Amino acid sequence: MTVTTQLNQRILLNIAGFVVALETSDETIAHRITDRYQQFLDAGAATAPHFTISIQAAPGALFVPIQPGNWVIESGYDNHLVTYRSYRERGQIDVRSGFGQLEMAPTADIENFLRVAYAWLCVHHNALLLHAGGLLRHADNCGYVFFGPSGAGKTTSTGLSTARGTILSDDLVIIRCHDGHCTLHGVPFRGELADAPRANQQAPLKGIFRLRQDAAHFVKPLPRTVAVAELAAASPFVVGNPHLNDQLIAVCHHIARHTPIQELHFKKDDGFWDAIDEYFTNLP
Amino acid sequence: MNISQIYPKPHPQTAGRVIDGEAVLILADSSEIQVLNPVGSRIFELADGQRSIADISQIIAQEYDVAPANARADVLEFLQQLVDKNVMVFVESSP
Repeated sequence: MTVTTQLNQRILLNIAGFVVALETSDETIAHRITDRYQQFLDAGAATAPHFTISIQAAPGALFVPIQPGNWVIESGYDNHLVTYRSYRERGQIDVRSGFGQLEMAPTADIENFLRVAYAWLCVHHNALLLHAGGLLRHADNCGYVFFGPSGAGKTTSTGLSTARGTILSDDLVIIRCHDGHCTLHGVPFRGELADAPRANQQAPLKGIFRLRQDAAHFVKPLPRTVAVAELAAASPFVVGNPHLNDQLIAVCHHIARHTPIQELHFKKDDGFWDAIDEYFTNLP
Repeated sequence: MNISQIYPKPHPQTAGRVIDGEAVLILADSSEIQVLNPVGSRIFELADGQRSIADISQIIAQEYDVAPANARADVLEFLQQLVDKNVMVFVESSP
């Protein structure tokens, strides 16, 4: 008798200090994950994983009928369960135990599941996964965030800033706050700049700018209340969940108390950096 | 409507926080986010299910130095708008 044992591979991801362990016996899935998230692998995480996810390969899986229109991602949080479903992946995480399961077609992508998991992790640890572009500026080694709804100019503003620093993302960043200081973290999630490096870097957060396309470059004050509302509105997967909204507002308020959040009017050249520098120069 | 026996409070789908005198509200059903002006924020703050509409109107009249009848009409109209948008609910007795 021949006994075949399939050993689980354990992959540790560390994104912004949040560690998620992914376990799977499927080599195709394991290889795709380690390849895609190479910059964020943590061979020996010092802390226990926040979540441990058991991944089961489900060849041919189709959990949501494919139809024309927007990409379907269903996520929720209720009764201590984070739930997730898309076309070829379906999973859940019990946040009390920290254990979860994910079924996915071997050729499917784990990224949207990770986005949902990290959005939840962030909002429960005084952090925020924000729909935003982020730059680590070389001149001062500080982090700058540009945010707004789709079409506001996140990809444009970060694309115009490549000579000034390291782009952390043109789509999503993580902001963590501790002891009155906020830090900007790169994430492996990408928007339209698919060929950009996935920078696993962090920097003290200097400013957050709500983008407004305009005919001139200038920085305009944003009332703190509006800033909190705008941050909350740009927090994917958690905004709108009745069990998370109180915490979401608290996190956004915390960030707004410790980081300048202004409105950046800009046109399509990098002159907006002069407006940003002028703003910080004149800051009392 | 007897405004002395109606106790407005936030709808279960509403999350809100008053920041710098203005309320930020997130409505779960629609993922809509609203910011109320200072007077509206004060009314939202007072509408905790423990005060009747009459109580709230009286406080607003005193704090903003307006005639009680005007305050009652304005507070009632504003709260009714919030109820219509599922931001608040009216409860007929204090819990």
